[in-house]
Amino acid sequence: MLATGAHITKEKDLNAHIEGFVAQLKRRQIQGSYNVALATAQLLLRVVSAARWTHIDQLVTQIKILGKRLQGAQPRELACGNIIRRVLALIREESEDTNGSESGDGVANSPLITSMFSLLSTNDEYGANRLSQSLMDGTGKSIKKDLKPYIIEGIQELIDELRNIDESIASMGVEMIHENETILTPTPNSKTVLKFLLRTAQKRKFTVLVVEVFPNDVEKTHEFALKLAEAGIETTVITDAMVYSIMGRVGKVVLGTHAVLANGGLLASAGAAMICQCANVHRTPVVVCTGLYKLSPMYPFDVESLIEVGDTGKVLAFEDGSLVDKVNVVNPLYDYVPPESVDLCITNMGGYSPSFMYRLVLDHYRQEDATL
Amino acid sequence: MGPKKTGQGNKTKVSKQPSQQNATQEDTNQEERLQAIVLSDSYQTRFQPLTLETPRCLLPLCNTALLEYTFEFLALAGVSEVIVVCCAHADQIKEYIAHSRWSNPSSPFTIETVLSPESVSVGDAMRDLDAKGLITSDFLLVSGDIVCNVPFDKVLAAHRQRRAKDKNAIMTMVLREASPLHRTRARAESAIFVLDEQTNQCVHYEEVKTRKHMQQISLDPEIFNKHTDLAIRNDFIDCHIDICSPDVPALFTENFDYNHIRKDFVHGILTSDLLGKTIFAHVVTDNYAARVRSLQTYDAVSKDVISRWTYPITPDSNLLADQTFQYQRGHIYKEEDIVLARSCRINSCTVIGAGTAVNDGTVITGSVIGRRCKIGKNVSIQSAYIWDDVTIEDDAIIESAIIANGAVIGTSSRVAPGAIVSYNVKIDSNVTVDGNKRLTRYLGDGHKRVDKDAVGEHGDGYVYEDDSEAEEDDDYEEIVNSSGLVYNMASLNASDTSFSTTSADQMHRKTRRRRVSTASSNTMASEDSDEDSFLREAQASVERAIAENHDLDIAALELSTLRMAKNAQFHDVRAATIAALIGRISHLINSNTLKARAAVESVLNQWGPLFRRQVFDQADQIDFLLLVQRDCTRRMQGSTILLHAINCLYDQDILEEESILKWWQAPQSKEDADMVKVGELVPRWLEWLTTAEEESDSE
Repeated sequence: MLATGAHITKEKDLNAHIEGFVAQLKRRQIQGSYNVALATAQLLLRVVSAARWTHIDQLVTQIKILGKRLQGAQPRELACGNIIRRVLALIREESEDTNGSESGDGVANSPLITSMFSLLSTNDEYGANRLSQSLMDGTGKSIKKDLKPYIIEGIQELIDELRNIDESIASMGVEMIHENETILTPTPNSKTVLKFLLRTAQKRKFTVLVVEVFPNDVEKTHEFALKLAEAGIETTVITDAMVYSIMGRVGKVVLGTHAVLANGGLLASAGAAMICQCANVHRTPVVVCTGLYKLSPMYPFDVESLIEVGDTGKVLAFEDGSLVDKVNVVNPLYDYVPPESVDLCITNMGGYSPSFMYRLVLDHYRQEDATL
Repeated sequence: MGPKKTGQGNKTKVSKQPSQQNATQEDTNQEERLQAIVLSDSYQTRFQPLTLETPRCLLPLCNTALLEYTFEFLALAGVSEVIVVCCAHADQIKEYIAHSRWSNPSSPFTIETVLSPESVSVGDAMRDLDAKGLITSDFLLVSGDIVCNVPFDKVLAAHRQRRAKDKNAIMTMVLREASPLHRTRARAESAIFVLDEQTNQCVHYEEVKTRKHMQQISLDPEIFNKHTDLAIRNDFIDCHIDICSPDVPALFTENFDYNHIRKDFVHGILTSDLLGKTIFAHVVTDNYAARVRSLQTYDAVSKDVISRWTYPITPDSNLLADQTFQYQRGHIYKEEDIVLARSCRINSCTVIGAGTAVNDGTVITGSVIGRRCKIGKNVSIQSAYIWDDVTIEDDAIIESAIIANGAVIGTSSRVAPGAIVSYNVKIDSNVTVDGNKRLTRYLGDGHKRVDKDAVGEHGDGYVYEDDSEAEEDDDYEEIVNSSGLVYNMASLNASDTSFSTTSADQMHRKTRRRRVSTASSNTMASEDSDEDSFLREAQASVERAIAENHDLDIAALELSTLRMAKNAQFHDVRAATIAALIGRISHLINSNTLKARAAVESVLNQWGPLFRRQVFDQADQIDFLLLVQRDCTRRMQGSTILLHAINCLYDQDILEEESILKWWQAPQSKEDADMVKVGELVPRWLEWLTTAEEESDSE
């Protein structure tokens, strides 16, 4: 009796925690793909450690339902859904591992998901077959091995990966930036880009032009530029309008991004699309720094439904009554950058061409989880 | 778990945490904790007849109850304890809160509802709160109808910093800058703030009456001596978001004639020089803050929410758990499960709730449509607010109107701009509802009424006439004109602009010749008459207190209220009290009830402490002694009374030795024969005083 009582209060606590998290997401108290991803992973860790299941499918549905709620709280923040899908893939993998070794013919059945080329051999039909098979023999024997510690360990690893992501990206900077090169970056709110540049500056000497990105990120731009300047990098802040005239002198455009879509397209801060177009005209390479958690299995069929529209007050001063009354103002926070505009994506797994992104998607997510 | 009754009568606790745990929390983070008082009632009748059936704070704004926006703001501001003061429709509000997510354990603050059924103004509610003793620290005072996304940490930090420096900085008002004719400003309630440019201290507050073509405001010349840079501003949206210290409810209790937080309280505190309390303003130049205080601002704030000035508090944040709004280009918000005919047109700035069906050929522009509405063919809806479960039949035309829950608009009917169709009213086919009409079906007095002229042959409902406001407020016409959904630009705008220019002019002139204007004869004359009436009334009040043997505190309170009401000086208060007390003493002596010394002691021992609240420094004491001396000249045995009075008050420590000596040396104490005569016994007493002093020194 006591034990179940304690369990119930624990569950209540967890529910309250989830509700609080959803409310915070709605209020945009947690914002930015990194923060959302980390918070989601930590929440999932709690959920999985508190969850009880007799069959792994129950856990999967439970997490899918949770994922739908979280996604609904900030529908245009893809990182949340990405982490949910990563965890789902992890659970499925663990369960398949154990089932595979139980049935004996481990060698033939063991999924070779660790290498991306193995995906060529695993197709949907195969996965579905295996699932129904596991369902069939799962009911009889249930699960002998407790998966919980393995899943928890997996999520822990994911959290560690999130925390160290900038490190692994930054270490590739030396290969990307030459001595005395001029770098232009239009995404000063990206921590990844900041670390990338700071780390590279230890080995190379280069100039950075920071684009102001009016109206949403002006203050962040100045902070960003200050940090670069303090590290001894020659830094200039330029207005958005100057980008085209200065592009001829720029060696590389380094871009942070909000999300990477399955086709290799980006959702980056508003204005980035224009800058990438401009870079394309000048044949200036565009390099994107992104953690894998930003990679989403979504395709941009309806771009507008992916772009968050922000505070109107940043574009037009609210005190100007005559304008407020007569003008409709829209302040999109992000731009869709088509994959053709991007030359290289640097991830924590290495550098890839945008056209290769779909493979990474297949590597990290399961087809079954594409829609939560 | 239902609401459970606690000891304090009608106070219901919805918070799930046991109170003990609360108490320990209070101890641990006294600094961090922030209380908020939400006044759920507006104490106004602007939204009638809608508010006959629902409290204003539960009216839907963009399909979400107004109260949700307030709570959302409080959650963003980091409030940890919310007290909702309910008055009208208290049961509905309590029910709503009990079933909302705010009383769940996941809520960022604990929530408590307090009934204050007798209150008819903000002042009453504050006095009630003070009596209940619920306020322990600085708190946030808001009404239940604000929409705001100002990040509050800075405002709060600034307030706390000021408080730490000066305990008398009792209040910080949050003001949003906006041009004078901004749509989100409530036209009927604009006000002038005089702020110190450097410290943002508010030194004067004056309400503006638009209709009366206010030409000038008068400022105390003292203000110009104390502050070097003053800004006189008429460009604020004042949404009554205040951070108050616990002194504020106490001051309301002390001054029981204060009702309105601005025009009585702020104005009163700033114009009275005795309290020494200061009020500051925090001017917000970005982010959004507004209050739905009239139909005109309801319209404006709805538009602001739709066009995302209030981000992240927008419809697509789906504040309520069951909402499923999605944003589309052009500020269109649609919930799931909507049926839209192929040929209907949804134009920009529109919100449509779940379960609504829109038929062929209908055009909807800049409107809010609630849930489960049925909208027929070829209907035209423009800038209208249509709440839940409304049926609009074919070919109807609705412009800038509010159609409340369950109403039916018949075929080919027209609802003109500014009209309000309240709950469940039925309008027949081919009827035109005029713009100034407010239709309702509310059966306040029990019998059913139907105005066939207004709602048609088969309709249901009657024209609501607001009589209460007309009686008590002579600005009725102004309020109707300016607070309606459709603002009568032509008639009122001009007056507002002309006001702001003339007043600015006037003020410039005023500052230049401020010395002249304060000395001008007509102001003096009016002040004189005020003083006279004050003296008479104050004296009568003290006499009454003595005759009826009132409590000392009550007598003191009565005096200070009178002083505030008449804007009198302390000098006058002292004069009045002295006249009353010495009158009493000489009455006792003359009627042979007591000997002079006993009479003085009996009266002054009981009532002397009154002077503690009237006499503060040495100058006051000298002034006081002169007044006593002057008064005694009119009495029999004046010199004896004077001597004993001085002795008695000296013993009570109201008078200091030094000031008595200074008084005696002052030329005014010997300016005419009467004064000299009455003071004949004083030198002996002074001699005794100095010798006593020396003796005690030598010891």
